[in-house]
Amino acid sequence: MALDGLLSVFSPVVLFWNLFGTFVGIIFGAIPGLSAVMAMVLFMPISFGLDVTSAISLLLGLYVGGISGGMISAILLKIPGTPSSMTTVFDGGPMAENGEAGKALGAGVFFSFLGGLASAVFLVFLAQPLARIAIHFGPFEYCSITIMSLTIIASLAGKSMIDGLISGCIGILISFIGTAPIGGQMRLLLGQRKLMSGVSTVALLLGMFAIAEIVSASGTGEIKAEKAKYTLRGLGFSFKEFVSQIKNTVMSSLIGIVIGILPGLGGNTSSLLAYSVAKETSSYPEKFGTGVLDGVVASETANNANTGGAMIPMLALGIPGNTPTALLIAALTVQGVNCGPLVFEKHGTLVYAIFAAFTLANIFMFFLEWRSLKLFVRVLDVPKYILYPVIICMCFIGAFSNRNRVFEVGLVFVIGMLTWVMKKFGLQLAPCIIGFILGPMIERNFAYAYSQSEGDMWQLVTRPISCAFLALAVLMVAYVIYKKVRREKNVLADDG
Amino acid sequence: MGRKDRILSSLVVVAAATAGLVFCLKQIKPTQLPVHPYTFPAIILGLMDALGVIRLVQGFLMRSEGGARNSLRLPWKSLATAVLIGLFAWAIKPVGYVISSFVYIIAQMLVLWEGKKRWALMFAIAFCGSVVIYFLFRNVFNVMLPQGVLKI
Repeated sequence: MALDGLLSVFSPVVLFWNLFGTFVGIIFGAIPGLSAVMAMVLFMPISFGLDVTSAISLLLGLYVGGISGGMISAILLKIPGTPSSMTTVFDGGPMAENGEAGKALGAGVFFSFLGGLASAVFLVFLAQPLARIAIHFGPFEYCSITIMSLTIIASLAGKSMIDGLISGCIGILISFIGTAPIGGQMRLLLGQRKLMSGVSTVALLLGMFAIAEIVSASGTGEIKAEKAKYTLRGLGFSFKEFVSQIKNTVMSSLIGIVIGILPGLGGNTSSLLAYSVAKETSSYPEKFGTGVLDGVVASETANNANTGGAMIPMLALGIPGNTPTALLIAALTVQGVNCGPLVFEKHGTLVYAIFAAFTLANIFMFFLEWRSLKLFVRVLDVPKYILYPVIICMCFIGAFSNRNRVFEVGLVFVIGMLTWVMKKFGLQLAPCIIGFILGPMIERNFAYAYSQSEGDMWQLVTRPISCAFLALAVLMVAYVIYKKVRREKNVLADDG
Repeated sequence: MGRKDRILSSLVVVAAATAGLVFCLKQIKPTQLPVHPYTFPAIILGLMDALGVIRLVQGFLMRSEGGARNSLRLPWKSLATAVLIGLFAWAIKPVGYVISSFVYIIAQMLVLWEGKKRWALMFAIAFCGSVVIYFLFRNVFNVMLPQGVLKI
């Protein structure tokens, strides 16, 4: 059964659809505003006309390529192609500015591949047992995980903790705009009924990274730079650098897979958490954000590891962990395959075909991106006065196509201006994004937990898994404060 | 950031958070729901208000020579770019993507381009960024961008 499944993806037709899907996915991922989800939605009707193995290979290719492709624009343009590559901007962008675009891209491609591969291994061997553990997670556990994730703000706050927390609050407030998760009441609409559906992550990221960045850069000397410097040989990094990233890769892969298994947290959370952990466990945390390889490795490994992780509850329990897996479930249902505990017994061959197709999509992604590195870095040769207006046009198209309405274009502009003001005020962007992603999760899970326990919120500390996550949150905050105090003491000692 | 800028920006944060907090507190009424929709926004705004006050005090305690000066300065090119992007965002619906993006790209390049202008290149880029992209997205990605006055 396993062998039949694995061999079924090596037929020329299935291989073609997998390769084609990965290629198209990379393009969708690389264009800011377009995403893996959009590519999958667009190609879903085509998949209905294919046999089940070809259909799932096409969609998996789009999924894997779309997630990984986001790092291309994140590194070269400092605009994340997909929300899950937003943390790649933090160090990938500065690396490109420092003439290390090739290295950042090479590392992004290679460690995306490793992350995807690690999650494929977990998918094959641990799908069923891991999914059974995840099903025991209730609102209290999710609430604790979100609280733990919110402590990332403390570690990413930079020099001023107060500034970081204010920025985080702004992000949370933006996420509260629209329909309240419990009760469905409208709030903070600012007189705009079109804000009922809230601010989308795509609009926020385009406004924050594209509009604000271009407006800021227009007023600086950066615009004068005619040609960017970069070097590119092989994958751009040495074997020694690869060895130095092994610990980071293992940790980020595990974070990506675990967050992927838990429905609703998504690739954005996994890359944020992996980046934060990489920073806090690094011997040079102060260099994060200035262009260190570790930041790109953590972010890209985690977001690709998340793809396989999200497929574990999808296959074993029939629960979609995120939108792409929801689309995969829909495509499989149309083909007559119902995901869930019985899928291994009823469609064992297909399950192994899915494992193989997922692994193959990662291999295709690696080779397609690796062989195109030299082409990608050419973007940096384009003068900024040409690049910037074209990027703005692409961002507006991305914003428009995200919800198919012009209002999103205006929203991107307003968010861009707000971000510009925030930057002028010295507030960092990273905590704001974290607040935006995690704000609704904590509110929703708190409300669910409150109503489920009829107000007995002590269960947050009496339930073992929930308590463990809260303890981890306290430890993380204590560690960040301890490191900050020690660093300041060292600075004072040096000055003395 | 300089002392004056920090105080000024903190005042803006405190004023905005206070206004938001007052608004949210007015909205909170008895409800059957486990958590009122305005409870969390009020908590966050209250926290932001407190943080803003701490930041303000920090600003007053700063030495006057501390931090970089003129961080709130607005370079004219940044302002011009912001205005152009705003006009583009506003015009995209009534005028349509093709015309508004064509005009925007030319105007933006005029602002950013230093030295001798290469008009033929500028028009070629504006054409690609507007007409070519419009048809590419319409025909390949099935994204129907606003047509505006041009019914194409």
